[in-house]
Amino acid sequence: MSKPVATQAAIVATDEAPTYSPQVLRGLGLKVDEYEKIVELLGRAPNFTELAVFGALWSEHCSYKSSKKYLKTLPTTAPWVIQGPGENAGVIDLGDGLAAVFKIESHNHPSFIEPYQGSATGVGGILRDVFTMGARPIALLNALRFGDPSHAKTRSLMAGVVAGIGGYGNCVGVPTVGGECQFHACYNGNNLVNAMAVGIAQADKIFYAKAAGIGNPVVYVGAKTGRDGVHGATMASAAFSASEQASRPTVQVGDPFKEKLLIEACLELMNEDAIIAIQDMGAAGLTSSACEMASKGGIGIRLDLSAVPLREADLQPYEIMLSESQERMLMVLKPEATARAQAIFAKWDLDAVVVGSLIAEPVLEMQWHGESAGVIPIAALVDEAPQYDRPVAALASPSQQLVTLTKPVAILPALQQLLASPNLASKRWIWQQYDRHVGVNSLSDSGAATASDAAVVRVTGTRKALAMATDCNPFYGAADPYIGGAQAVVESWRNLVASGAKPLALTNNLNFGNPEKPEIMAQIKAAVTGIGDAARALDYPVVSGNVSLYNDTDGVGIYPTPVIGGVGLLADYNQRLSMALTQSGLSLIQLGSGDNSWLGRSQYLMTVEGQEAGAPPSVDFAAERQVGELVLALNRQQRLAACHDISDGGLLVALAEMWLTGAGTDATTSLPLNVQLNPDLPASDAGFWFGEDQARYLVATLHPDQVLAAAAEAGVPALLLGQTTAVAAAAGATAGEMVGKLTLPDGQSITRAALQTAHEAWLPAYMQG
Amino acid sequence: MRAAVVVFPGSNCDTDVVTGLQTVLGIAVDRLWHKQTHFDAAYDLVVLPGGFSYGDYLRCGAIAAHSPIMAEVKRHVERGGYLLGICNGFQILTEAGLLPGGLRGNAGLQFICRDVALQVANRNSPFTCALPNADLTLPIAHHDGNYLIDDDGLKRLQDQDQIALTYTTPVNGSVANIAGVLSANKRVLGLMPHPERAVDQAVGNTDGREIFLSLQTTIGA
Amino acid sequence: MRKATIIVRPKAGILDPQSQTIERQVQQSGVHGIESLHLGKIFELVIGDDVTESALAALAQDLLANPVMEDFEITLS
Repeated sequence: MSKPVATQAAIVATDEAPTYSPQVLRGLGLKVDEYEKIVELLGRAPNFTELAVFGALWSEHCSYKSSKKYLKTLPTTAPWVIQGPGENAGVIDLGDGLAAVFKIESHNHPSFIEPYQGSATGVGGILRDVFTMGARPIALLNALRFGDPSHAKTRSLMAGVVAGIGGYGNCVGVPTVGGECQFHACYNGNNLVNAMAVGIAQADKIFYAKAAGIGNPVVYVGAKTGRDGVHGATMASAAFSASEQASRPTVQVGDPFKEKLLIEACLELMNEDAIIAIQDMGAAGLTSSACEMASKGGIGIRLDLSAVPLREADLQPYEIMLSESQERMLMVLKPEATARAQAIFAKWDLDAVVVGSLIAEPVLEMQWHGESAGVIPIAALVDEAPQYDRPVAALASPSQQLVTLTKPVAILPALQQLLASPNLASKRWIWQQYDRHVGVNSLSDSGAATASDAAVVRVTGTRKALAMATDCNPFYGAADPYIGGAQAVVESWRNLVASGAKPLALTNNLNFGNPEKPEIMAQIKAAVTGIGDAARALDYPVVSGNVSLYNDTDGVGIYPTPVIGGVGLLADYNQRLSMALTQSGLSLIQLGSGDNSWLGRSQYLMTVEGQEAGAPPSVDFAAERQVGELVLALNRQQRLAACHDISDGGLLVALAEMWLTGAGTDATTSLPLNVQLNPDLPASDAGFWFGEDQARYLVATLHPDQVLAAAAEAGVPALLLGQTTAVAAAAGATAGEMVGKLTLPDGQSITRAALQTAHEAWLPAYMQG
Repeated sequence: MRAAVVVFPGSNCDTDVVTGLQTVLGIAVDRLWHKQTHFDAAYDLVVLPGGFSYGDYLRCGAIAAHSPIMAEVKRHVERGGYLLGICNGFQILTEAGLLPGGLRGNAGLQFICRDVALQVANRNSPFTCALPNADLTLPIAHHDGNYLIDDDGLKRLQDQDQIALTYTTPVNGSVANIAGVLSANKRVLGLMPHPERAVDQAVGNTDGREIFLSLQTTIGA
Repeated sequence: MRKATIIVRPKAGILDPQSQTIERQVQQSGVHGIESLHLGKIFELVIGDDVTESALAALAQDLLANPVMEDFEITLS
C-alpha cells in the first residue's frame, strides 16, 4: 500500500507516543510483531482506540490470517453462482429470477461460556448475514458437537445450546429444518455450534456491502450498543485455559424479537429504492461493518461515535467500536430516501440514527464529542491484515492398519446397540424443540413419513424447493483430515441427491484447533484440499464459509471438523424423495460400491468394539457422481419410492432408519410393515452390514427390474437386499399382536418396537440425568 | 365472508393464516396493524395469529393484549363477529379476558413442535361444525400451551360446552387436556394447535382445512 | 425460623430485552414519569438459624442466579 497520508485531524493524546505492554496487546488479540507492523503502517504509534480497531480486524475471526492461503484454493465459481465468498453470504441462481442466499457460521466459544445466549446469538448473526443481502430467511440448520456424554458439562451445555437455538429461531419465525449432533471427548472443552441460514431473494435485487456516494449518510439501525462481547472477536480467536474462564467478558445477549422487527423493516425498506450499502454488525461490530463497507467501495467513512445509541452512558470509543451487541445494522442510504426509511423504521418501533457519512479520503475517521478519536487508512486495516504462512507439520501418514475385530459378531444386538448409541440415537429430543413448520413450506419433516436425508423447503409461490443438509464425520477427519474434508462434501452431496435435488453449492464451517501448532495447520491444509478436490469433482462450489480456529482447551484440540452445509434445487417439489418405507411390496436395493467391508473408523468399531482404529473409508469422486446421477435419473423416471444415503452406521443402520421413520405401516392398509432380507446375503458379516464404504444409497422401489437394469446400464453395482411385506391381518388379532419385524438372512428377527425403543430412548433418558 | 388477520410486532404466522384462508376458502384476506384503533365493522372473521408478539416478554400475549387494536377487537366481538386466536393468538385472547383461563409454561418446561392427536369436544360450534366425525391430527409449536383454569371455571366450560378440542393424550400439562376453548357465545375460539399449518397436501396433512370450512359453513361464502 | 429474600436481576449493563420491551409498553401506558423498568426474580426462602448468609450467597451464585448474566441481592429478616 502507499504510505499513509498524514491527515489534518488531530489525534487524541499524541503529545507523547503511547506505549503498550505485551499484556495490553494480548488483551486486544495482537502480537508484538503485529503491533510493530501497525506502527509502520501508520507512521506513528496508534492511540488505544485505533489499536483496538486493529486488534479486532486483524483477529483470526475477521482476517482469516491463518487459513486464507488455503481458502484461496477452493473452487468458488460456476455458471449458477451469483456471489461467492467475500460478502455476507453466498448467492446462487435458482432460475426464474430467484436466488438462494446462504451461509454457515460458528458460535463455538460463546456457546461454551453461555450456551443459551451463545447459540441464540449464533442463530441471530447468521440470519442477519442472509437478510442483509435482501433475502427472506426460509430455513435454519445447525451442526452441533458436544463432549463425551459422561463429561460433567455435556448435559447442561447441550440443554442450553438446544434451548438457545430454538428460543431464537422459533421467535423470529424461521423454521429450523435440519441439523446433526455428535458426541466425543475431543469436544469436552470446546463444543461446536455451527448455524446455517438460507434465504430467498430476487436475483436482480441482491444487496451488497459496497459503499458509494461521498457525503451519503451512514445510518445505524436496531438495538443500542452495550459492552456485549467487547473483545468477542478476539476471544473467538484465542485458545481457552481453564483458569481464564473466570474472567469472562460481557456476554452477548440476543433479542430475537428485535431481530424479527429488523427483518421485516429491512425487507420492507429493500422494496424501496433507498439502500446503497448494508451490513450487519457482527463480529467486531461497528469496526468491521464500517471498514468492510468502505473497503469494498474504495472510499472513506467518518463515524461520530458520540451519536451511537448507547445502553450505558459511560462507554468509551474503543468499546463502541468493538461492541458486539446484537441486532444492529449499518447502512448507507440515498439521502433523498432517508425520510422514507425513517418512517419504515418508526413503523417497526426501531431506532435509526445517522452516525456518520462517506468521505473521499479512504480512511476510517472516528470522532468523539467533536474531537478526533482516531484516523486509520482503510487499506491498513483490511488489505494489510497479516497473512500467515504458518508452519505445517508433515501429516502422520494415515493409518493403513487393518482392523481386527475382538468380539464375536452378533448382527441384531449390534444393530440395537448402534441405534441406541449417542451418535446414532434419535435426536428427537433436540428437533422437537425447534419450530420446523412455520411458513408452511417444510415438505420433509424429521421423523415423519415425509422425512428426507435433506430438509426440503418449498419456495413460496413456485413449484421449486430447496434441499439443505449439514454434514461432517470428524472420526474420519481425525484419522485422515483430507478424507475428513472430502467425505463431508460427498456426504452432503449424497444427502441432497437422496432427497431428489440437484446439488448446487455449499457453505463450509472449518472448525479446528490452534493454528499456531504445525500439526493443526497440517489438518487445515489437508481438509481444505479434500473439500476443494471433492467440490471441483462434483461441480459443487463453495460460495460462503466461516473459519473457527483455536478450538483448543489446555492444549487439547478438537478433531478436525469441517462442516459442510449443502444446498440443492428441486425444480418441482413433487420430485422430492422421502427416506421412509410406507408401503408393502417394495424391493430394497443398494446402489453403488458393492464392496461392503470397510470398518475402519466406523460407528460399529467405535461402539461395539470400543476401538477408534484403522483408516477411514476412501472417497471416490467419480463413483459418487456416477451413482448420484443414477439416483437422480431413476427418481425423474419415478422408479423410486424412498431413498437414503448409507453413511455412519452402514447398510443395516440405514435400512433401520428408513423403517423406523414414519408410522412403519402400509399407507393404504395401515398394516404394520415387515422388512425381509434375502437368505442369500452374508448373515453375520459385520463389514457387510455395518461397513461405511462410501458412494452408496439404499433405495426402495416397486420396479426392481427396471432399477437393476438401469444400474447395470450405468455400470453402477446394485444389490437386491430384500422386500417390505405387510403383516398379515389375522382374524381376531389385536393391534398389539400385529407387529412389524425385521428378518435377517439367517431367519433371526427383531420387532420394530424393540428397535424403536432402542433408538428413541437414549437421548431423553440421558437428558433426564 | 370477509376476514382479516391482525399483525402484532413479533407475529410470525400471519402470512400462513392469510395464505391458508385464501387457499381453503378462496377469499381475499386483509391484514390489520396492531397500532390501528379501528377497523371495518364488515369483517366477519378476525384472526389473531401465532408467533411471539412482543417477544413473549412479561407473559406470552400480555403486552399484545394491551395494544391499541385490542379495544376494537373487543368491539368486534360485541358486534357478534367471529374471532379466532391461534397459539400466541390464544394466549392474547386469555390475557385480554376474551376467553377464560390462562396459558402457562408446558409441564415439560420445553418448547414442543410435533403433531398431536385431538378429540373434537364440541362439534356444533361455528369453528367445528364441518369437521368429520373422527379425531384430528394437527401440529403444535409452543412453549406456553399449558391451559390453566380453576375447578369452577372448568365446570362452567363443561356445562356450557365451551371446550372445543382436547389432546387425546397429555401433551403439555393442560387441565383436562384442553387444546381449544370457545367463548360462551361460541363465536370466539382460541386453540394451541395450528390449523393453518395443515391445509396443504404438500406438507402431508390437511386436517386443518375443515376448521376454516366450518367458518364458511357458518358465515357463508 | 427466619426469612431470606433473594432478588436476582440482569447484571447492570447487560442487554435485557424483556425489561426494555415492557418498559416501552409501560411508558406508553398513560402513566407519566416512569423513567425506567427492570424485571427481576424474587426467591423467598424460609431458613433455619444455622443457614449463613455466605451459604445463601453460594446458593445464589451456583444455582439461583446465572453469574454470567445476573446479579443477586440477599435480604435476611
